[in-house]
Amino acid sequence: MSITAAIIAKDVRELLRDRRVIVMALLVCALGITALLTAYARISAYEADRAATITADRATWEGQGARNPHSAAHFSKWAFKPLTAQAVLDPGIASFAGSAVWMEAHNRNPAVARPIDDQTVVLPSGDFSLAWVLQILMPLLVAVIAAGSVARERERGTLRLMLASGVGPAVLVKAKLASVGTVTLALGGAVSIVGAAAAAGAGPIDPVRLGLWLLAYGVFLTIVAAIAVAVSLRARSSGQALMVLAGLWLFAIILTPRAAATVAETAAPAPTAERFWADVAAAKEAYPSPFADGAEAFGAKVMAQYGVTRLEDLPVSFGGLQLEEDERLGNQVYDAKFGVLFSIYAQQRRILRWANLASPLPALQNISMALSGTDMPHQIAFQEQAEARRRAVVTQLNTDLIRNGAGADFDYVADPGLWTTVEDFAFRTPSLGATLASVWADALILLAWLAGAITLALGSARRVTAAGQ
Amino acid sequence: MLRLIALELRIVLRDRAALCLLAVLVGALALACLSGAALMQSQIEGRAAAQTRQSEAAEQWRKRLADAQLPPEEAILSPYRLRQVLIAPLPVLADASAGRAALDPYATTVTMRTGRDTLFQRSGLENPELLVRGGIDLGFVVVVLAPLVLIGLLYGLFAADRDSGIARLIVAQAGDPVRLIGARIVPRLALVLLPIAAAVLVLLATGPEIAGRWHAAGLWLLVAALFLLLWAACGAWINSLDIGAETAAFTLVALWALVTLVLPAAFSAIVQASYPPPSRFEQIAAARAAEVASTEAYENDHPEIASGEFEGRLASIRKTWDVAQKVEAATVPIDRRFAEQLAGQQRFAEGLSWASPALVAKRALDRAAGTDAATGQGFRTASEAYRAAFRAYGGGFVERGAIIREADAAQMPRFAWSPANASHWAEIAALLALAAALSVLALRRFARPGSV
Repeated sequence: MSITAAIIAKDVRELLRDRRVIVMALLVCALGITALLTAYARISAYEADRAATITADRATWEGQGARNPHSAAHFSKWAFKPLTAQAVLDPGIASFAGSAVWMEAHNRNPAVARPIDDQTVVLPSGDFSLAWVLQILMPLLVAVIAAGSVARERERGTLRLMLASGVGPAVLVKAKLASVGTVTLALGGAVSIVGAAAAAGAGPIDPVRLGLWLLAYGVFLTIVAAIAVAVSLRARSSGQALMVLAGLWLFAIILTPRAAATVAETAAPAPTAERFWADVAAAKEAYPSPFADGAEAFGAKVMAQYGVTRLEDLPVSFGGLQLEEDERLGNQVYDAKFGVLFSIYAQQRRILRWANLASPLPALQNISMALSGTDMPHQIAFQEQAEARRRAVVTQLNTDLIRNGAGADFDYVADPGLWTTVEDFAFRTPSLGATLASVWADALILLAWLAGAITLALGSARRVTAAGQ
Repeated sequence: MLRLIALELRIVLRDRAALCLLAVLVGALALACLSGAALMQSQIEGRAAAQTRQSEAAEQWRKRLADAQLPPEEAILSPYRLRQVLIAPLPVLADASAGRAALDPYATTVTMRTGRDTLFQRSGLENPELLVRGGIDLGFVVVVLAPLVLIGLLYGLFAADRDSGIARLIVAQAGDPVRLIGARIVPRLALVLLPIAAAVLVLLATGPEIAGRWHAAGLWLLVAALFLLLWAACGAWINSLDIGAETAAFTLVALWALVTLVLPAAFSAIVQASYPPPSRFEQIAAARAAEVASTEAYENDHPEIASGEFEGRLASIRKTWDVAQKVEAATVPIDRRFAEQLAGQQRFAEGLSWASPALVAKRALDRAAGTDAATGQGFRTASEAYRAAFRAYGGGFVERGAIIREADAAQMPRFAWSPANASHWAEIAALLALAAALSVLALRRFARPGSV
């Protein structure tokens, strides 16, 4: 047996004898599995509910009978956001983001039905999920496991014994890294494998996304293990190592992401809903509505286009044309206002990235949520696609009114067959390429942290020699 | 004793690790103050914008009622021109404990078309990516951060002396270490508590003047002090056990993780599983099915274009009103289920939270700040009650085919809601009792001969 293997075997044996670590590891695993089961149940119920709602609403939509197309455009349809099976692993922003958009004529409505609105319990430290267990609790467990890895050998005097028996400091550090890494990856891997199985049970999963997700967590936990071993190498005692690691954990895992979120919100504040919708209303008031102050000019333009001198002589519905023009003008307002809002979100994300100087967690969170389809770019894609569908539905209905409602305008009643031609909203998940493009910077940051952490751990080997123990 | 405390204070201030911890605490407090001030400012601005809209709506309404020239075919539409903006009072200490302030709506507009499900539809534009990470407020510092800083300062309170063998010397000279333990705890607790108190004072000095703010701040600080006292007592108790500093550190960190992270997470899962809310999607589908079942004509959405005639418009709004009532009736069961499940969640979560002092403290801090779940729910319930009264008022005119006159304006329901004055004494008593119990346990063990 090589020296490295012998050290790993000894460390694992010692950890298995330490009931405190066993209890904590079992607790973390139990929490991980509980998080998975609850997420699995929630997402399965959500998807079943979504499918049932779409079917029921399709029947409602097609059964609305003969009706003016614009009346139907007001009633319109809803877009319901799907959750991918991988959301079982990391629900990301799902609790805090709206999951349904009313695709109504004239109005770009925000996504509503945020699960958090129907939860009275808000955790003091994030949303409960497998990702939360792996991001928050697992690093603490790794800190506990690694704190004594070298410091305790030093306290007992076995470190001196090891060095005297010919184990070089570099070999010792590599062996300690390997033993802490083995235990960490065994624990994280066990929970992750259960997670992957649960995700596969919740629906079809993309193996590439899942593989990358697991890889990202592997890299993160390796970073944590390497830093923990480095601290243990430098600490005077295992108690001190534990407290330093607990402090680092508090700073990097608990404090930094929150601090970054706070700084991002302060530096690039999103408008209040009151202000935003007041601005939208003001901008819509400002353009010359084809129904009000712009009616005359619009009528003249339409008459010129069709070569008639009276609106009554138009071969199409003037009311329908007014509606379509009103939509066009309104859409410009929505594009501008939502464009600004989304650019604020993007700016906040850029500010958040600076937190990666203090902690690798924000980068991991971005990657984890992106690969689970539960990050902000996916949410914006949902809202943008819902808006595109809204415009398509409204235009389709207005076009029917324009073509067939000449003379009757708002008294025109469309054939119920029209409703069957209106397609449901179907969300197209952004491609893997687009997803990776949104987090490539985070991936690089995570790799830089990995390189830095391993260098730190290996560099700490010199301290062992310098201390003469 | 005072000299002993001063000596301990000097020892702590010479310890670089302790200074690092205190620096982190102070940094977090500074950030919490900035964040709290920004939240308070946005809450004030949001309410101001809502108030402006309410004033504009009131002015338009006043002009409409005073307009003697308004033709009857337009005047009959008045119930559908009426809108009221409902605004919740500003939470007294949202800048100290954000609680649900960033999540819950604090203003909404009610019209005759507002349904139960659409009452708060347009709330919240905050970036979910930031919400999911959470923010830093003073409440978070007190509940999550400060205990861990205190643990960092206290974990070797006496266990370190036991490790080094000095403990026997102390006992041999002084009889028991109780005074020494007291002298060690006081400066450490003060070093954590005083910056928190200073941060609260900064917020009070720079924040808005709201009635009851100082009283709320007093209560808030009392809860914070008791919670930290509890952790100090816990540190003393753990140190009174016959264990080394490493085990003491491990035990305290594990306890902290248990009450701050693990139990809240487990309770959240249990509460959600026990009282799952009904489906919002189902609610939407039910309302739409009911609407289609009751609607036949376009006038439902554009009553003013239906006809220039008084009777035509009256018929149109009567149809709108009729459809709206049928939709409401159809969704009553699911809406009731929502209310029951949310109330059940709240009751159950409150019951479970007694098992975690961190949750007890958080609830008390949020309650003192006026940002707790019950206050948010109170505004929703009051808004819903007002919406029903408002629609009954407007609907009465629609049903009677009567025009609203200036004299009728006085009968219009007014929205007036203020949060209930919830008692904090149960939480305060619980924290105090727990802190006292642990202190007594620790003192008895330290005072026992041969305990070292």
